[in-house]
Amino acid sequence: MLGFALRMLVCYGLFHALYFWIPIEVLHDKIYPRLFGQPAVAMIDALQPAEAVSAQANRLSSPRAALEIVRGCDGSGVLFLVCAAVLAFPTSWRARLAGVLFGAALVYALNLLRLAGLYFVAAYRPPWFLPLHTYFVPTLLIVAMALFYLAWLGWAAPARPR
Amino acid sequence: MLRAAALRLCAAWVVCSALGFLFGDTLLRGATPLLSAAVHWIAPELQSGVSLIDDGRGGTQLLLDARTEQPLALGDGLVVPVGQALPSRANGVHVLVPLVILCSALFTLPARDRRERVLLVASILPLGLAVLLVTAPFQLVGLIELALQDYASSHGVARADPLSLHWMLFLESGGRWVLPLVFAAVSYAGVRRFGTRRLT
Repeated sequence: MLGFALRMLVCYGLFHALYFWIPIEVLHDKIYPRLFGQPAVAMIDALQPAEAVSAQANRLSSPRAALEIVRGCDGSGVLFLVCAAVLAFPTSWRARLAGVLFGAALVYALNLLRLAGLYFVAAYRPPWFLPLHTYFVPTLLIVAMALFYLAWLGWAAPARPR
Repeated sequence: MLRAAALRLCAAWVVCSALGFLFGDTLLRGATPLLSAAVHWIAPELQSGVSLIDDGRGGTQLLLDARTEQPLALGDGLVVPVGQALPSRANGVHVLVPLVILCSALFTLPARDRRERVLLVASILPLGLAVLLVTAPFQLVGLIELALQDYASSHGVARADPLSLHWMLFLESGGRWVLPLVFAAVSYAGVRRFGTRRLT
């Protein structure tokens, strides 16, 4: 267990260092609009076309509300966590690769849902925004990914090399 | 076993989140002397105190009320004078996130017997305190350092990022989730290794 925790911490530290190596301008102007802004706008439009929400750089805005996607609020922490936990677990590389790919896809989907959801909360229930954004949603994301990890363990553990 | 762990995790998250949301202020208020002491240890050049205040929106904030106790040299002759107020704030419930994760993890990890479960639950108190002390004070001091970096930068002074700022950035980008999980893993390993009563 200690070895697992140490390996996970090392992997996480590596991901974190690489992430902070990306200039903030690249994140705000190139990555966030394509990866999160436009897909979140499409999701909000699909649910409520009258919102007239648009994505510019790292901002989602409409006449009702505006959200800013900043470093650390892009789901990277959860992504690094699940990838580090998958890579730290002693199993086959095939199982690890599957864990990383499915984990990343799930984190991305949940983060888009989070962004769209937070937009609606900011627009229609502003008093709920702070407790949801800073307290309930982050821990819920961790729980969701922990459940994914448990499911992955159930699948990957039998493939452990002996 | 994994299904049982998943159910325990969901139940633990619901209970811990609700408890933190309802009673977190009391916990934070009780911890402010320790948080003040930690801030003083991290930034001895500041005269400081941590308190819990109303944020005016139905929530609370941890307020670090700090002043420079001595001139603070930022480089190239740029100095923050003595007595300069340098306040910083952190959202109250946000500070509790690592504690919710720690408690949920410790309730979820499987125990072989009741004694192990009791030890895991008992470790919440020291580990919770440790998690709080390696997160909240650094977040407050890190925000001050961030303001000082901006101030130095606006005067054309390049200042190396202090360690507390690096740590705050680590915490803000997910470190506050990783640390409680690592603490829980270490506690679990300790309980498994030393916690089980040996039958002879």
